[in-house]
Amino acid sequence: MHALAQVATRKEALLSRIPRIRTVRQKIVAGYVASLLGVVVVAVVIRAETGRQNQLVQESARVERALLASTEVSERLSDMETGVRGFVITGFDSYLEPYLAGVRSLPAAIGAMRANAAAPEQVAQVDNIAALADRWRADVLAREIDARRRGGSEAADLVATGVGKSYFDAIRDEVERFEATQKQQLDALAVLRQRTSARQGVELILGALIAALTSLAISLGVARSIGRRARALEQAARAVAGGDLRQRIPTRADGDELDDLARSFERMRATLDELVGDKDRLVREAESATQAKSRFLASVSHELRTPLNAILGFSDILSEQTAGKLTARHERYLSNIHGAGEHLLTIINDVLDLAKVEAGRIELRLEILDLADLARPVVASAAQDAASRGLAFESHLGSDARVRVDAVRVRQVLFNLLSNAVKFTPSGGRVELRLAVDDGMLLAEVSDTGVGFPTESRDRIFQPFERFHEGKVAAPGTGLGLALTKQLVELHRGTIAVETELGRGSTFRLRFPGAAVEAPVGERVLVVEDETRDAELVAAIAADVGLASERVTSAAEAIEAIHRERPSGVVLDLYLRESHGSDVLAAIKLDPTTKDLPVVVVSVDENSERYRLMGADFCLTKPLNRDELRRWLAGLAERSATLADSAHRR
Amino acid sequence: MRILLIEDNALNVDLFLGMLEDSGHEIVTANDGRSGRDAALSGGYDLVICDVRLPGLDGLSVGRELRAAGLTVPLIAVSAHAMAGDAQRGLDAGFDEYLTKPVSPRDLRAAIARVSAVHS
Repeated sequence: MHALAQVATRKEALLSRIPRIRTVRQKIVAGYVASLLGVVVVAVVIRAETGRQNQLVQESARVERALLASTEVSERLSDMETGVRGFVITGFDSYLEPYLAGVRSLPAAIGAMRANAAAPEQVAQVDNIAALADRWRADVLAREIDARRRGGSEAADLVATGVGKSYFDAIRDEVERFEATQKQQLDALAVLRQRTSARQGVELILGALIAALTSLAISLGVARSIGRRARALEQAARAVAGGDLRQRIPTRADGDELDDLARSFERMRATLDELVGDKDRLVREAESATQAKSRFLASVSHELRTPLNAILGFSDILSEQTAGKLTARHERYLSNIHGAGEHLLTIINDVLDLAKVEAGRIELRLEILDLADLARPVVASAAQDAASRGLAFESHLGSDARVRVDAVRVRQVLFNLLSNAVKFTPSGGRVELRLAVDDGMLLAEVSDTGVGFPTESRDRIFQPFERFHEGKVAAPGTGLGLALTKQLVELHRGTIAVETELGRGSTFRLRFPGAAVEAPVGERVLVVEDETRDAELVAAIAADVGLASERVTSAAEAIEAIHRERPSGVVLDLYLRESHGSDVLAAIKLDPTTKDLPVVVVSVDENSERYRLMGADFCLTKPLNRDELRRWLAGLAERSATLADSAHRR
Repeated sequence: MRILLIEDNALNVDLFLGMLEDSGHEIVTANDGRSGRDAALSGGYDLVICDVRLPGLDGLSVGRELRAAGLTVPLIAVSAHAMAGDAQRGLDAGFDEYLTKPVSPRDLRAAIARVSAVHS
């Protein structure tokens, strides 16, 4: 066990000496280094082979040189032989030239042969040839020369012996044997060279392939590792973006940058999860707090109303039943009691309203009506109020325009402003109400020639319970009116501003953007259809009955068009490419300002009952029944013409 | 008219009596939901005015039970609740009118006139 432990420890020590490859860059570099090593190995191998090849070439050259030398030797010997023969025959010295030349250059040639002989046996062969040549020269050629010099037939006799010839033959045989050996060598070398060359080719290709594949494998491996983890991270991110914070992301310690990223991401997800949990908890707490507050307010207001009911009710009855029977003073007392009760009621209602607005619990119930209808009750009561205090009251209504507002709330606002104006204007003064529509907005102005208030306090007056002129004016306010008024105006996404001067009066200006309704009931039919041919068909039938048409191709465009300018009706294809027509139908029928818009639904299946329940007039299937559609469109045309007429007449 | 008033608060009873007696109506009072319902079912009334908050059976339930029993007499609900939806709930329970306190004599008389007109 001890030995094993030792081995293990040594292995650990060794591995820890290898530099850890951590970052992506290191991995890629390592990959390149590996393939580089491969290339180097291949290069080394090729180099060795080339060396070998060179060696073979050199050896071949050597053999060639030996053969060359051997040929040279043969020629020299031949020269010598020829020279002596010529001299023997003619006796002229000039014929000895070849012999002398041969003798001179023979040793060099022999030397070359010897030098290029590859093996000791070959050297021995050369030595043999040299010795033979020498003996032949000395024993035969030299004696023949001397004999000829001496004259007579001695030389010819010597030649006739044939010793010279046998020497020459022997030498030639030796030379031929030498040459044969060399040629054999040459052949062997050639074969070797060819083989080496072929092998080199294979090694080159193989080596290149291996290097390329290694490089590719490493690159792909790294890429896959990165890609896989990046994709996993992307999926996790997508889940988080989609709201799923519950899935943990697997992480690996001590990996590369991507693993670090995954770890950080996981920490981020955990934090987000916690934060969302906190947020949810806080939202729930806030909601329950708001609900508790609402319940409290409701029960308080209820509790207050009950005795208030008695106060107001009894003072009412008393007034009725004692009419004319009381002194003026007592009647005044009764009136005071009743007035105080009403005041209390107003406060309770305002507090409740203010709380509701702040809790976001007031929803506007928008309706379309014209300015005259909107203003009528407000004008009536303001006129009465003003008259009873000796004030002049004027109302100016702008053009014959229609607006889309929560009538109850807007009247509440105007009422509040007007009653303030009346309250704070001394007798003989004047109060004015102006309503107009301009640039898509509803504009309202309430002005008075009353006491006004300091210009610097312009913003403060909209705060709850801010008061001015306490005690200077007969009727007290609740202190809540303007705060509530501002909230209600802002609920309509409008603005309220005041111009005032102490002693000169005040003017409150309200703007309700987008409240104006563009035109009286439109005369065009909206065609929601993304198949051009079908849309054109509907448009053609509409044109036939004298109705203009507008075509849109998506649910979003349809809703925008309806709100931009109200059509006289809608032909709605349910099967739009990117949305479903039923969304449009639902949007139309759920919006109180458009729910009476006639809608005809076009679908491809027989589900008409469902859409009729949703509010469609009826349901058409494709191919469209032209007569039915035409009848409906004609009805639309007629209706919109009638409405346009009456609008004009007004 | 013979009017049944279902109201438990003495002050409110007094108030209603004050508002209605002079018009020559005969008023009968019940002080809780159950006795009020039974009285209504025993018949003979031209109008029932019912407070929504009652001990025992509450006003809206009285309304539902009376309608379920087939009573077609005009029903007026009176309540201190003035929150959104309360009025609709009253109407859904079968009442013809839903008045919020404080109710002035004028409002009460107008409501009575309205429901009588509808039912005659």
